Amino acid sequence: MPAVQAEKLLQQLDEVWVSLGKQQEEAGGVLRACAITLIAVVDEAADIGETLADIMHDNPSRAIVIRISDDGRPLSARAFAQCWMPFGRRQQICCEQVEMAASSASFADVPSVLRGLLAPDLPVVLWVRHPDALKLPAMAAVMALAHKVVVEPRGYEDWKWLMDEVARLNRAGIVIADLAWTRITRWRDLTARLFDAPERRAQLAQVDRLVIEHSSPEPGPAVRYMAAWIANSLGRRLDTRFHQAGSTKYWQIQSVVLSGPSVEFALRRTEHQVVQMQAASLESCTLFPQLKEAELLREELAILGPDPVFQKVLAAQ
Amino acid sequence: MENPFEDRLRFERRVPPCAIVIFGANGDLTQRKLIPALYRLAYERRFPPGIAIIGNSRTPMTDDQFREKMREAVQKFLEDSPFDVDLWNDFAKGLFYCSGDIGDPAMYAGLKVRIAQVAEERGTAGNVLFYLSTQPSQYIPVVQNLGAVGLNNSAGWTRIIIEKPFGHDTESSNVLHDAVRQVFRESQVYRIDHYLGKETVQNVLAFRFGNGIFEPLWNRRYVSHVQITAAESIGVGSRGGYYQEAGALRDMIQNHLLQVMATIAMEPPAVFEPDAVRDERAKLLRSIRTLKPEDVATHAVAGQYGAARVGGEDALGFRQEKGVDPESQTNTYAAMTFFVENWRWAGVPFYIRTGKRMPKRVTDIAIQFNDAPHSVFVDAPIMSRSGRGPNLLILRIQPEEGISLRFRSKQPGAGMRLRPVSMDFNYGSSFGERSPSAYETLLLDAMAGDSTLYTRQDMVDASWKAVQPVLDVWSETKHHFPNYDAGSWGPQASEEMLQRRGHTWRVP
Repeated sequence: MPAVQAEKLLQQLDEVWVSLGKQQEEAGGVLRACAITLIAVVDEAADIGETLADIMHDNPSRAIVIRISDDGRPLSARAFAQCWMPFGRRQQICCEQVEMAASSASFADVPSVLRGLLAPDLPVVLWVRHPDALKLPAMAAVMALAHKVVVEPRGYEDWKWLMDEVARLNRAGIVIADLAWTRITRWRDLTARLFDAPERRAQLAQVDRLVIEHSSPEPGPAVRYMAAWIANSLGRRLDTRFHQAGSTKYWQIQSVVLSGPSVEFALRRTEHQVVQMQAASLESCTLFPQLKEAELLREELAILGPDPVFQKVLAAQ
Repeated sequence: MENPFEDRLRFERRVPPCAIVIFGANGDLTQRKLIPALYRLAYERRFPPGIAIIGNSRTPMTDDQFREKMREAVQKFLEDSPFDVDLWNDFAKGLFYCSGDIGDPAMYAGLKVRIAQVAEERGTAGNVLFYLSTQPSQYIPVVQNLGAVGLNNSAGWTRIIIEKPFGHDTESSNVLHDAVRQVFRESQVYRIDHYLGKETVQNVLAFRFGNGIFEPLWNRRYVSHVQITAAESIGVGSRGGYYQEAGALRDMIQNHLLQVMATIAMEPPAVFEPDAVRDERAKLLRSIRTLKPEDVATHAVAGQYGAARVGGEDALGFRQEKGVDPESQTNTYAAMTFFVENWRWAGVPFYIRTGKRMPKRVTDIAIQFNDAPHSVFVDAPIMSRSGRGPNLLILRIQPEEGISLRFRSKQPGAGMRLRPVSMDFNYGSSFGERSPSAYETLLLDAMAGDSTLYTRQDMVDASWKAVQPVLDVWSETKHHFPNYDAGSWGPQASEEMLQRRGHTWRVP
């Protein structure tokens, strides 16, 4: 008999629900909510409690968190529920959570357990927050269970390998998302806004140069995706330069400037999380508050099918 | 040439730059709803650079004074969002003020110059959206004056948003329409009914036409009756003067609730496009049976709240409220039975009620399904003591938006005992993100030229036609008011109206 059985975990979840229902009987029980199965693959020490709690409000899910360590431990698991009380209401809303611990070796046992744990008839999203896990042989079987795979390159040293892997998975037909791409949605949106006005759109033909400033020693995935997207959208290569400007803990785009002999269109990050848009007669600013991990995931969870624009960018890599 | 950077999957819908001219910019609606909604749209990056807002009212103010006043309003009335100084400073650059009396034709010549200056300065490409946030009696003079100086057309597009009420009765509605259509084409006119902008009213369309399983049940064969309730726990407060002229029937049923009923009962449109959706709503409204004067007493109930103890406090009766005539005949409660004369709904009563000072604030739609033709459970009759069958679908619009389906289930244990259970979908818990306010949705739609959620004149006509016989009879009637206590669910006559058909009002 395997040490971890999906059926036993489901039974534990049932017991959790009965117990919660009894505790909250006077308030009319608890509201059990589940719209997706979210599988999170994280390293052993990762603290994702707050992120999961945030996501639950928008995307109530059966969350299955798989913590990977290097200590050779066998697979273990436990089940519980996360609840919150919406403001002004009497009834708590609760989501299921299963926490599994595996080593690189015992990760091979994960797919068979997962198959029995997925919430029936609902989408499955795999969030790989520990990119080394993509190198584990059993990962292909886990990915096969998911409708969408989301990877997080932030803080990952081997990000060049990860970018290649994302492109490879895309070619293999997996619906893949990269949170570095998600992080530049606002930059891309503002770039598009620069050219909403027909008279500025007409000047695009003059643009032949792109300069992106970033805050890391090397232009990271976000910078590269941004450059690739602009070239793809315009259907031509630009004279593209990357410069370091400032230094922050993680990669961050500081400015995007499109220019030509007599035109310049710029987006520049200023202080106070504000980005300024500048073109000939245009000057406007937009708030760019620091996005939390949960907000990025929320954007990806809202798109469960393929993202054709990202696919094109990946194909052009 | 399309914008090559467009990404419809990820980017929010964007609107073209324009100048929004608000008449009545010093008023309550502007400060409580419009400016906070516009600021919120800017906060959400839904606006293009160059958007401009020109306020007009009689009060002399400079642009800076207007900006300061609007800043205070946003800080006071903004909900669910932080106030950001940097963003406000940028937003405020697009705020302008043009003082003047809206009855004075000379003011419009000055306004025209101001709009042209702002267009030049902000790059609005000549697009202008007028918003009538004034007293309804001012609508016609404003529209005529705009036409007189040629502000009904521009180098870009010109649109006008008109707030309800669209007239006081059928005749005055037609007078308003005639005045408007002499200046603006129907496609330029956006009659706002903020109820239609509510996310959950829009969700009714998604629920009905995005799912295949309900449509086969959505007809006279399976539906016993429909109840639409819009209750408010508060009294008329400072609106006593206005409310005394309007009353519940005009204020709620003629516009908001008939639109909700049309959304519930309309036929599926061929495509989700403005005119296709509005055609179906209009068709439904035109299908409402017009009451004969002699039927009014059995199909409509008027009520007015009287003083009572509510929650340990003394609540005033309507006639004791500030600005209200002590002998007022105004209805603060109205309930009506409507019938839709088409194949889908023939014979199905649509009960609509609305009132002030009711036990709680709630708006919902309950679709009561017919009973099973025969009960196989001897000890569990189909009908409950309340006279309602077991199957009820409730679409909750506010405050806890969601959908519930009530059905019967076996009670655990020996024997076959049944009890009703409820299957709940809670909009807030399934989609926890903030919903845009109705004004955010509707303002953005008007800027984008999407009139799906706006009312068309033929819909206004049909709505007035549906309630006019009741207004006529009630205006000739001396009501015995007050006839319900503050804090109750309305007059007894309203219960009796349903009991004639074997139905009862549910307690929401």
